[in-house]
Amino acid sequence: MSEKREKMNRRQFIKMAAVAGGAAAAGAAGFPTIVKASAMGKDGAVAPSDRIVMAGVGFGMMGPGNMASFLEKPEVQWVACCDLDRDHLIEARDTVNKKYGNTACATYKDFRELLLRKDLDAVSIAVPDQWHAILSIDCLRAGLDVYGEKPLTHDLAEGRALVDAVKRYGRVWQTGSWQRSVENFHQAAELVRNGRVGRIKRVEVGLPSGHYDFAGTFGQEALVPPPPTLDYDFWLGPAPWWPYCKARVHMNWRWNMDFGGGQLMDWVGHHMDIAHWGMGWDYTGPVEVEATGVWPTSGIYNSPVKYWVNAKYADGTPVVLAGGYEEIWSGTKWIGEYGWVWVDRGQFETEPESLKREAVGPGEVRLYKSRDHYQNFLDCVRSRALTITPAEVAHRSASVGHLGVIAMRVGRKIRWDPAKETIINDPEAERLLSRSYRKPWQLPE
Amino acid sequence: MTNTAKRCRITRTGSRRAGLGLLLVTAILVVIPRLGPASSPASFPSAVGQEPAARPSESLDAILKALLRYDYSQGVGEPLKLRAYVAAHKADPAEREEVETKLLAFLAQGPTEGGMMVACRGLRLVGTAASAPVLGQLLLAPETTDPARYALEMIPGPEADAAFLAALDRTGGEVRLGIISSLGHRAVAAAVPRLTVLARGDDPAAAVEAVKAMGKIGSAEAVRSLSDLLEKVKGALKSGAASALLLCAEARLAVDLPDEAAELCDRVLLAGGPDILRQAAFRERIEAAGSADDGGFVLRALSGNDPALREPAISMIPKAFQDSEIEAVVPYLAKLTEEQQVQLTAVLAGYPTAYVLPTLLQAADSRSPSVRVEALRALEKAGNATIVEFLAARAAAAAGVEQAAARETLARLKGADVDAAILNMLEKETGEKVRLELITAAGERRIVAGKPVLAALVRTGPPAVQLRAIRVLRVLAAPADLRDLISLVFAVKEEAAREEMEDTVAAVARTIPRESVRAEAVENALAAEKSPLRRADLLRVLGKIGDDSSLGVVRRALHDANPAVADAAVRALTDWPTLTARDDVLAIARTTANPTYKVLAIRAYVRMIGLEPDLRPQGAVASLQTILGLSDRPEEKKLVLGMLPRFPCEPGLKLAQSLAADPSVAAEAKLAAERIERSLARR
Repeated sequence: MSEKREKMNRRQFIKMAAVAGGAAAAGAAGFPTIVKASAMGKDGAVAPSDRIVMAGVGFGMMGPGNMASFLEKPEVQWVACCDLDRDHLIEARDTVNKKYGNTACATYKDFRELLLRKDLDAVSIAVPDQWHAILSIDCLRAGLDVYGEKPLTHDLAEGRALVDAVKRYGRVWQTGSWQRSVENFHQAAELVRNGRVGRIKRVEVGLPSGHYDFAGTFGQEALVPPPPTLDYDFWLGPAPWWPYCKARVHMNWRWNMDFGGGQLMDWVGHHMDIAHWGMGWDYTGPVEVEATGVWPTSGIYNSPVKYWVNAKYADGTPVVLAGGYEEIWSGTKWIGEYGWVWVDRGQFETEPESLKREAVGPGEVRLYKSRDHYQNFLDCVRSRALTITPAEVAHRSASVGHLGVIAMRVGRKIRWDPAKETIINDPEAERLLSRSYRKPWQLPE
Repeated sequence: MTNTAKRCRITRTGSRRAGLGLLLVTAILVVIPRLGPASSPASFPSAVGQEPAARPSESLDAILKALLRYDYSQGVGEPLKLRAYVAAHKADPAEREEVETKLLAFLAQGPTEGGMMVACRGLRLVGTAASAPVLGQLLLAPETTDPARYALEMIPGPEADAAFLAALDRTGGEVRLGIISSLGHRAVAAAVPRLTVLARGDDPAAAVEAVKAMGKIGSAEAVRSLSDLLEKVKGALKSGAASALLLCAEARLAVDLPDEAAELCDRVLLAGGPDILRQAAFRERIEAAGSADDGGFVLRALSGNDPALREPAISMIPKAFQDSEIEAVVPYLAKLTEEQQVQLTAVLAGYPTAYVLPTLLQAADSRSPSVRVEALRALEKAGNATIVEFLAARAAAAAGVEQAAARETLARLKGADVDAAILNMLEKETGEKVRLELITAAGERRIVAGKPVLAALVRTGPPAVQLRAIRVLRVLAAPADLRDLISLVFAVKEEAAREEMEDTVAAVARTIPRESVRAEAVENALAAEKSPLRRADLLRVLGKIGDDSSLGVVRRALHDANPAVADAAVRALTDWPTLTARDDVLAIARTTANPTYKVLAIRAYVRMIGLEPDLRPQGAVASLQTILGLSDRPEEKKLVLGMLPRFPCEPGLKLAQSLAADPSVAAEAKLAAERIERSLARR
């Protein structure tokens, strides 16, 4: 039986206060007579009634880091962890307990049990892509705000379902596309948006290629029974069945197109997202996409090792999204009439060079500013405002990657209606917008 | 020859020529990557990146034979061969039909689970109604249902629908759950009667999934069934029915049936249930009401007895209230809970200044810190030049998040009149803290017109103000301002401020694109300057700029009769940012009797060795060893030990080890030796 801990959280406190008829009334709420200073918000601590109660699902790769960032925030109270791998789960739990100096962190294997809790405000999700849609929508329907990893979903149609669910339930969503909260990316996008290199003639987005051994399990390809510490069938979830081998789970699942989408889908939510930001394309997409890929001919991974996507947007601007081609620089490059702007992690160059020292003026377009992606999420949990990378924005950047994969599969240019989100006159390509879910799973909405 | 074949043949024929051309282009682009925008439009690199074997040499029969016993242990090669084959043969109708026929025949042979899945992946793309009978049979068994669904779910047409419906009647357990999922995904309206039965049946899992499926189907019959369930059941099934009805409502709104949508939302609202669903229904209800609603839903919710509806009401304010209409909402702010006030304050940010500014200013003085912070953030969009004074005062008085919010808003407030307001206030303001905030804002906003005001503050302001103004000038000034900046160096009396001003001059000079003229303005000023103290100032600036063309001037100044000038020359050389001055500082270290100069020179020398990472390690170590002969202070030895690992070699290792005997640097020597050993071991 999982540990559960009832705690008066922000929501419950507000509800009681409302019933009591207004602002917090300690007498009406029945506070104990002796209360710890931290409970009263003294010495920088945040009172329990103001805390955002969080849990996490998925601690294989990004999950621990995301949780660590949230644990640093005084307004977060982390109460539970959920993972299908017992080892990951224990490690996550121990991290939380060490932080708080207690043993109160609850653990769950099944996220559906986690969602039965009444005390949660938000959840941080970092699971393989095949799980993004089901898990996220169930969390949204349970009333939780979500910090979710990119790409938004495994399939394009799932993305629209997720975006609609965010809107339907009025939840706050932050995508792990944290580059928008970093200064050089923000600066670059603002310069482009304000026309500092003139009309953009082409956008180039360079992503990694090949397969990278994140987990150190390359070569461990023997088909063996899954370890008893991992519920492998549950881990597969809605994805087609594959036999277990160590090199195909934990971190390296992304090189299998049934779980992830290779480097293209892993990174499209970063650099293509920045491309969209600079161009003002956050709520639209390309109108034409063609793509080609170099696929493995052996081994256990089936995601393309090199790829080239040509996309065209409604205003005629061409975009190249490529991995493994040196002529396309890593990061995002906007090439305009009067020069160019290029940005990547830790790098920012412009032509002319002086452009990068220019500031955006008081009458110009100012892009959403955040310098702490996690704090931005927490601030928006309170204000209910849109985060810097809301679900729709994430869906639109992921869509470019999805359409690229579809174009590779059908081997021809596809025409896309970004408003209706349909592929035009190509029923065969339309079949690839979604896929059947392995029993017993169903997309919730 | 098919179109595909023709296309591929053209590709192969052109590939060699295109490949060489591409190599050449790539070579140029790699060698000189930053000449500017590429001139050719983006196109596929023709020689690389193609689907391997666009027309595979193996026949489909051979590929399928290899897949008959495929069990995944063979890797992805065979499945990808089939995929490539299908891709190459699907454009031509006759070839496509042949592929489908053969894949179906393959399935009938009873392949392994792996083989079956591979074949079904192919049918997902090329399957037609003809596949329905075979796949329909495979739907029934647990081992084959998932691959069959993978293909059949994507094949359009009534035949596939019928296959799923038939399977629904003949399956149970998890297999049936999968069938339900497919029916929902395909939105098979004919499934509703059967799904209704399941939703009311004694299999809870099937009931929940059936409800989800009906939500996606969304037909009138599905709506009736779900509405009935909503009234009659409890718990998770009731919640599921509510969610499903909301989906149906959205579908009706999307096809411009707002009245129907509204009715469904009302049903969900009246049914009670979890707050999240009622909130969703409420939002949808307002959407459905559209322009027919004058904001009444929102206002009633804000003042009503159902606190759960306030959050969705606030979120729908932008939908329900345009511009001036927001004035109807503003009075409610004070009556809300703190949490809701934060939310409403954030919403007000999207409204015109005239209608919300007074309210936001009031909120910025709220007793609640969260409300104050949100109001300050909202003022970025809703504020104007009239609030500059308020923001500056708040930034000066507040701390933490609130101070950061005030500063950020002051920095990003829109409008050129805001810049003017900041400068006006800066000229008149006497409070130090507020002045500091205004100066910072001038820097953040790049108010170039503020240079004269800042210069005046450098001359006459108190120390903290002076320093801040100097630092902001560093950001705002341009090379054309160098003469004025140099005069400010002379005007500043206090040493720390003067050093900052020197840094500012150097920083601005370094923005000049042509390196050879960066120091020109300072050199000209030096040539014309008679005062030794001012000459010393200028020499130090030359050291910070580090333009090698100034070295001659600085070297000559080393021997100046005036000690201040000579001192400045030493400091300029020891500050030199490039290694061109390395020999100069070594000479100083060797010859000076002044212990301070010796230390400065030694430090500079070590630093400059580090500026040349490609130096031969043995040469670098020999240079570093020179230092040990010049000073026996532990501080200098530690500098050497800190630099040795950057040039790993045996002589360096021996040198580090030899210093381990000196107790004052033993720990550093040991660490350096370890790091060098590790580097050498890696080679």
